[in-house]
Amino acid sequence: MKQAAVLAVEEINADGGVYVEEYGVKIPLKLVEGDTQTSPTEGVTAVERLITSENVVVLVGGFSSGVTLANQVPAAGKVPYIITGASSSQVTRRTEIDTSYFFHYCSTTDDYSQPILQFFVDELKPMVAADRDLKLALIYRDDAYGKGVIESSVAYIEDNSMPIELVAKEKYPTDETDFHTYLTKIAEAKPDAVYTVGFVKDTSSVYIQGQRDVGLNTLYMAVECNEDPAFYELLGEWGDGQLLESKFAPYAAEYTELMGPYKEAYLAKWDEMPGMMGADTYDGIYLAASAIERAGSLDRTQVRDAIKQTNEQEMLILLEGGNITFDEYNEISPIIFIEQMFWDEETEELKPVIVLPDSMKEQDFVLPDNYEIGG
Amino acid sequence: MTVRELFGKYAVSSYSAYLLLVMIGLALPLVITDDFYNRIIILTFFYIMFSTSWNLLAYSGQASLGHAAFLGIGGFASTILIINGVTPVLGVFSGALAASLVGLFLGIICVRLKEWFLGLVTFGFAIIMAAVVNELSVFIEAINGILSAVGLSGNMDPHMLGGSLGIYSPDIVSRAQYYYLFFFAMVGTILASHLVIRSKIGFAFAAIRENQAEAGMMGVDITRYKLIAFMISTFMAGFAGALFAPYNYFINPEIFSIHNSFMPIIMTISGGIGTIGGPIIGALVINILWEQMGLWGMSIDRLLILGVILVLEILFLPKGLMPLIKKITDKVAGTTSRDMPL
Amino acid sequence: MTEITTLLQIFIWGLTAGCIYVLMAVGLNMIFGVMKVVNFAHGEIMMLGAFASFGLYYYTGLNPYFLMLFSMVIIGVFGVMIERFGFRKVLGTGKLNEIFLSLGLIYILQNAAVKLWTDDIKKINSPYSSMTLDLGVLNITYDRIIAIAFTALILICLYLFLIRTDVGRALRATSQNHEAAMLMGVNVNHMYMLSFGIGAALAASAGTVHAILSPFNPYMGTIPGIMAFTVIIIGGLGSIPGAIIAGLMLGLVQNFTIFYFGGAWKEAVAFVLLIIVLVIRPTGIFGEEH
Repeated sequence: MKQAAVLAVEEINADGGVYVEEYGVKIPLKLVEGDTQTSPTEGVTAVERLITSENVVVLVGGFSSGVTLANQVPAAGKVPYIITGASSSQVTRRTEIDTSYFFHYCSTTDDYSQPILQFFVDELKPMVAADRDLKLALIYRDDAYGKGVIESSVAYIEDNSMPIELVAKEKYPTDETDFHTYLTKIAEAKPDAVYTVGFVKDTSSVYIQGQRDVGLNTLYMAVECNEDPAFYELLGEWGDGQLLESKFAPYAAEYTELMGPYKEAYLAKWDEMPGMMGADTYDGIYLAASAIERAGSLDRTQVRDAIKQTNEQEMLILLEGGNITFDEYNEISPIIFIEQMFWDEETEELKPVIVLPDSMKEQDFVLPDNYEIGG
Repeated sequence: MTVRELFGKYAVSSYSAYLLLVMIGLALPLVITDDFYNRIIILTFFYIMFSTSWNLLAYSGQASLGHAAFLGIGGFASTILIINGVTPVLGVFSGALAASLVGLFLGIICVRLKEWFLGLVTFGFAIIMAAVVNELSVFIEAINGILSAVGLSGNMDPHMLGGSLGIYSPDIVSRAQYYYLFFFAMVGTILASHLVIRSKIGFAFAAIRENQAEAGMMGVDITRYKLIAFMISTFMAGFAGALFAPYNYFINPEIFSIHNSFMPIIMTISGGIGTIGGPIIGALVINILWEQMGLWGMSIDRLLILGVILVLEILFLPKGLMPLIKKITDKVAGTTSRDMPL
Repeated sequence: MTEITTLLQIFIWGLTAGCIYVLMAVGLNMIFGVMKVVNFAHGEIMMLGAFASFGLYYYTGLNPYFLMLFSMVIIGVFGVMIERFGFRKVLGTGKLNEIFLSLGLIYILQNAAVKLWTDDIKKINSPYSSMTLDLGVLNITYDRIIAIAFTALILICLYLFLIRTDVGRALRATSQNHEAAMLMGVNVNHMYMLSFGIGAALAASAGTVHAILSPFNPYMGTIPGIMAFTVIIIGGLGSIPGAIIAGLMLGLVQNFTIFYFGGAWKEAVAFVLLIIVLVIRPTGIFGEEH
């Protein structure tokens, strides 16, 4: 996230900075960092410092839901905060503090669970379970993020009476590296697909250990935070035919104009491909800059209002309607896609291809070569 | 007596030093208005409390490697109670009490254990606690992160807690209220620790620590005193946790982290294990260093440096900074200190 | 009803996990046996072993199992240095100092690793990673078999070393009685260094095996290091057979716990076991009364 932010700031400053009408000049953006270290204590300390000592105009970022919930309090009512990582919907919907300064510029756990579940029902079920409920296994991290996604998924399935049977729900400690027993347990339940909620290290291990060691040859689905070069690298050939939900796909065919230049610039600066988490932050910085310009001043409340009224063209993150706008909860409606990865024997690389939504689809979804119904 | 000797006897005695510090402490919020620095100082007070509690247990020869467990128990217990309507003061003390009862339980397990066994079991206990609390989230919703400030103050208004303690003043910024809350809690903890160490109980602790077998032969009821040490120490830790939780607006199982268990250890050792001033000096120095390094952006480096400090301490300065400080004050006052805890 | 195949599979996973514990625990016991010293940072040494192997693999691309032997030597030497300049100095100043020293080492080693190699995830690819052995009832990957075989091999080598060679005998003598050993002409300081070196080398092998089986980062070692401790206490301090039995047992217990009770208890169960053992039989399964 930091790398994307630095890139954005550099680009904006290369052009002189942000034009602030109140002062009549362009002021270069200064990026001040606060490292929250996924600890509420450190998170609050960092934010307090940014707000008081450093006097920042806008906060951008926030990775861990738990920490973000904590560091929102010092921010409440004082500084506009564009949240670009934490996916808990609580950050914008809590009622006991003033959330009008918070803007959720990333997907919530509801945002991505729904398309994933819908995908299973619409695309997978007809292929493998046409005349029965789809058997889904869940394996997830034992933390706020993992549990949050699972809860919203379970709720969504029930509320919409989806034809999905949850045959396994395994949670694992966050530092787990050995998934064999969990996967063996899941294999016993003979699922049609496995929905993994974790970060790059765990998710890739699940995919690999499941297929290679446990013989659970089924369809695996991962969540967007795994959209990262390390994920593809770790998976290697074991990712062939498997799925990833995403809203930013640097490896796919160019689906938005900005993608090309961004990829180039990012590669040039950081010598690696950009990941998804950075994209939200990149957009977030530009959003902050644009809001400051539109507000015409550095007054935090005016900037907040400007952010609220944003109606600009989408950037790296595709949004419904094509424009960046915030709804009454200060949330956005990102367009989610489902990617299927394929292993290229010649180049020895794993590359994703968008298979959903129809408007952006590059090719149809197919079952992985090694797929066995019921695992 | 010469003036110098008089001066030495009273002015530089530890009591006057403490009195001076207390006066500075009371006046500080009037001078420091920056919220951020206020927070740093409050965190330092917190660490002083927590380190003092750990120190007390170590004073009885029992070095816990999982003291964060009690921080968390105090924090969660008090927050859950307060969210459900219990008055804040009662909630905080109940949380501390809960920590103390669990501490008693752990103490019973550890009575016959020494050193590494004790260390390992206390370490493991923190992990077990984290797992247990995590699982309880099924029954007590939002353990994934309780918005503790809501709990403690009802409407995000710390005035409520201050009000019930009688230090509410509409003119002072809410930050100041948290400041005084922690300040007095810290002073109370230090005072309690001092009283315990200077009492017969403290004497028994020291005897057990120095040579358990001999202490037993002298008639000291080892089990009883070891358990007392556990109960008092964990009460203090729980108390610190109960105040700490709302201060961060949020409590989740992260509070049981290994880092939280190790901080009081590093701090106390740096200051001087077994002394009363040790945890204070140690917490002050280490926390200031910690925060300053954070300001310089050295998030990873500062962890590394903490480790280096600890190792250097053990190798070269095992008694911590206290002896150095005593040497300095001795020189100034022309006295010689007895080698006793402050 | 759970099928036998499933249970057998869990058994294999538990066994492999146990092997890593065994390598760690035997190493720890070596150090404890000879020096009576505690090193909580053993897990970080394991992690360094993983990185050493990774580094060698990255630059040479040779078979990582072969490279493991080299990293064992490298880390072994490193272990000797830690002993010489760290633990030797605090020997005799009290157990607490040893504990605190190792805590400091954990912070140093872990964060030095993060600084040197970043906390990005790394993986060592074994040339056998796609190969499996089909036993009809279940599949085991070659890597897993190698892990188990290697553990057995190391243990046998260690046994022969301790029983058949002069140096090994000197080591055993020192662990039983320092003074007597010194009287017999054993250079006790050398024994200290040797035991630490062997212990570290074993940890390095555990780390390498772990790194081949799963992706890793600088934080990989802390929990296995602590678990190794639990293992040697359960098995009995200073007892190598105890470490082997307890290590395998822990691996199995943990995996069956995951299977029947879910992943949340995986770490906690080790400590619950520890507490039970300490309450019922404090010297451990094979421990002697000190």
